[in-house]
Amino acid sequence: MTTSLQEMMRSSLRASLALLFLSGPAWAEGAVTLKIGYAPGGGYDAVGRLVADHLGGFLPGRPDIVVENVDGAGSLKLAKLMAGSEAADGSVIALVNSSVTIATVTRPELADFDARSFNWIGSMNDTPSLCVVPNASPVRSVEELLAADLIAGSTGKTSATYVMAALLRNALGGRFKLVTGFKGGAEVNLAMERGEIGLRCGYSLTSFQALGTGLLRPVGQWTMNVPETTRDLPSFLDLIEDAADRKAAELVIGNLAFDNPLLLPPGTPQATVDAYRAGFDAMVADPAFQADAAGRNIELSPKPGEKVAEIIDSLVSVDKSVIARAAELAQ
Amino acid sequence: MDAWTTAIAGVTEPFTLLMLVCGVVVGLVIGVIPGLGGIFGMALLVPLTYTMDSYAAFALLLGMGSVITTSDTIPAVLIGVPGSIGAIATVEDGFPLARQNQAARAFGAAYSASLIGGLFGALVLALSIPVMRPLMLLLKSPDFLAISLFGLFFVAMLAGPQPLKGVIAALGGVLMSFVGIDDQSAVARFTFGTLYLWDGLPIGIVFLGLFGLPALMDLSRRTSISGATASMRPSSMLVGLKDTLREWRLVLQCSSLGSMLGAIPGIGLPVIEWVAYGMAKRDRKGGPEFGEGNIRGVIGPESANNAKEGGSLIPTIAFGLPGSATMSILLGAFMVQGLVPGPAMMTTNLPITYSLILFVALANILGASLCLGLTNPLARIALLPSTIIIPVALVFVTLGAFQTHASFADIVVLVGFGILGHFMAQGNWPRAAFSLGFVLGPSIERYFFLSYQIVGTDWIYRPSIQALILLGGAFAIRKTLAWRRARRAASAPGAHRISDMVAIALLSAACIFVIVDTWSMPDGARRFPTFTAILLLVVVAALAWQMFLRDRPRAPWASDATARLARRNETMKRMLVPVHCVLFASLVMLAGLVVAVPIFVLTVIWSRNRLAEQPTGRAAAVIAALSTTALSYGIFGWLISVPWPRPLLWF
Repeated sequence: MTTSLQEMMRSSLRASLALLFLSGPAWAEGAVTLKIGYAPGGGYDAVGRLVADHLGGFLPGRPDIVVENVDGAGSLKLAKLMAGSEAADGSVIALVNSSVTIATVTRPELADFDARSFNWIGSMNDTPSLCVVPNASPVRSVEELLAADLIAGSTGKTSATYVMAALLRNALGGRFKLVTGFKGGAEVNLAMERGEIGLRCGYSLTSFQALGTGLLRPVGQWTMNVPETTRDLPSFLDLIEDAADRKAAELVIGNLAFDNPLLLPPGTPQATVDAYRAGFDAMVADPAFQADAAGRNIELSPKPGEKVAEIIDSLVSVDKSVIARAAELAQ
Repeated sequence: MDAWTTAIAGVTEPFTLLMLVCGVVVGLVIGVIPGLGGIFGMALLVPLTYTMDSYAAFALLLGMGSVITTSDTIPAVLIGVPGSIGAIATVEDGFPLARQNQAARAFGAAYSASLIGGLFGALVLALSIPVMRPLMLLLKSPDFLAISLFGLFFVAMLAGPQPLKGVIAALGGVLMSFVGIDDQSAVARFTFGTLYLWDGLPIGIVFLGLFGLPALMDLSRRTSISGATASMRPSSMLVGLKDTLREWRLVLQCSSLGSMLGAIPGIGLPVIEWVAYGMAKRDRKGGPEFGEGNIRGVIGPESANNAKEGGSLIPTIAFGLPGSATMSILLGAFMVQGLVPGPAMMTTNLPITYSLILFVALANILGASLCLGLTNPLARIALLPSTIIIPVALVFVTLGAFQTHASFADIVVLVGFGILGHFMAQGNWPRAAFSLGFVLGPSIERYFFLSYQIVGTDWIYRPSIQALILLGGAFAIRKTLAWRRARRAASAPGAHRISDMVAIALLSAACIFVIVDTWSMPDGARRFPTFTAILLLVVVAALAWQMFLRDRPRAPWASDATARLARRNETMKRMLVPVHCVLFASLVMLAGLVVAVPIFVLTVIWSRNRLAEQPTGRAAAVIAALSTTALSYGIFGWLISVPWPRPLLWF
């Protein structure tokens, strides 16, 4: 309490001084805002708040990080805001769904920005994306899931909750119907619990472990590399027989390798980007951070910003025919 | 019982109690300042709780969150500006009471109603623990749609003397809520190329504008709020307390309503406030007309808004689904404390759940007692000259709006809605209905699409929707009949105001604009605005027919020239308030907070002094300027975490 109070007084004093005699980079003086593309209460919110608690300590000037939830369209709204209107001085960073990067090639009419223009700070997870059903559901296997007349719930059309379910339906021939408009994962889960819908995809393993209440059960997973923890769960990618479809599916799920990415707006000065990247790398290596993450049931498999930028570059510059097929599969 | 014992032991730890007191004090301060609310308080306090144990953390956060709606009554009653969105309905009768020198009575009634409401909310929370999950699971998407629609319809019909104007205002609010990037297909609606509007119109500023600025504009015509110089009677507060006890039925009705509606995600404080006000308004009980200082108009909303806190904890605890914006951030604190909302809160973490109930109850007792103790000195503010109150209140209203995005666009929105609110009040267009449409618009759109996608057209057969249609229909018929009776009883129809014609023309133009502008948008983004605009166009046409064809005025269109001139002078005087607002914000951007506040306060006092019959003394002016500077700097410069724009003059 004392430390955080002192910390707060100190940063408030800094902010007030900044108000009177402003100088130096904006983000080093006052608080940094971490905008999270989802409503509070879901997996992204949990990861964002973990980062907000620690990242400031690894940045020059040790700024306070204030969380703001800017939910809408499966974090596409925030991505668009970051691409367009946010200050590129390091005072605002964002945590979005990594699937918005893929949407820039598969749904350019909605995601009309260049994912490569962002300055990526780093990503928190490389984690499978699960499709889950309520515990009481009669669906036990992938075959039963594909044959069932279900409704799958999602947030926005470019969100993982939509894209992963659409991919499953289109690449493997599912019969279920897709519904959009829920406000965050917590609301999708609740709708599943009250029996309105029967399936949720795009539930990252990390969030499922952190927030799963024991009422939901995974049926299968989307992932490029099956980790040890989910070895027994069927991998949807392995069930796709058509080679072209598989390639397109790989593009659609390619973003899973850098889930929970943090970014700075386009045009941020390189020195600021470097400071954030160094801060991020130091944070994820810090034992105190790792212990806190473990305490909050958040599994980590971080990637540095440079690596994230590299993956995105390779993902969005694939052959046009692959993009076209991927777009069809994700609709 | 073990869980209760553990909870009580946790709650009564000295450090926990200290945190509760700190939370309550912070909450009361936040409540008093217009523009700041629970979200601000949570964002301020959550970082402090990271190193605390669960009990101390929730004592601080719930202590703060529970009492904002107690102290936000203070500016609502005294100057007619709601302290938070939880006091917008309290203004309706609270402010007229202050003008009749009955501020102490209004406070006595409001605090005691808040206290009972808060305790009732805590009780509902306690009782609902075993049944909250199964009960919440009974409600499906169409039910949420029905509840949102019913709230809107109820208030639209009840809000003003003319049902059609209420419906139009409500639909206008719904249209305004569509500004921003839409959730269905992520396209920008009505943003006019500005990125500021991508996030939608900021709700806090819209409400400050609609209700806060017009109150100050109105005040600019008076010498002081109460207009009287009689001394405060200490017994008035007791009269208010007795009022609350006499109206115990209303208190219980509104408290139940507050806690039940609070449990429904998307139903915000404004909805609860106005529906409670509507309940109080059903019966005058021998008091003055509503809007002219009927104490029931204070008791109803005040008992409902404090009961909400307990109610909105229900979905937060049971499902991790925040019932309000404040709860959203509280949920973050749950995560930090390693608590997963859901069944575990009813089993392993039951003591924590019980402690939340105790915190809400204790905070309400503490908050109401502190406020009651301060009632008499505070009520004297109503006697201060308006030359002082207006600039001081303007500083807080403007800064409260300005802190939202620290952008000049915040001021544009504030002033725009201030002027809109002023003309709505003048022309009998109910602002309550408009504000409710604005809050509920997005929920109605979302729940409509979800219902339609999940069950197709079958959502119409859901019992809640059927009940809504039946109740709404009966209600509309009754209200229309009552209105017709009242119209017949009145003598010849009076002259229609030109402002009504202008409003009808502007509304029609806006509807046509919406229909044309959304034409090329994807289906998901287009359907709802188009539907709302067409509906609005139909209702506007009905009103035009009613006003200008059926009830063709027998009196000439305009009143005589002298009256028109007097009205114009009055309007010009009122318009000084929004002009001052813009000037002050420009001054802040130019010279910074510390320089802008004293210059602004002194200049406005000086310029108003020239118009006033009883000018403010120099010493009083300097004291007002200095204390406003210190207070506003302490809150907006020292505590706040928003990065303010750099003063242009020094850089």
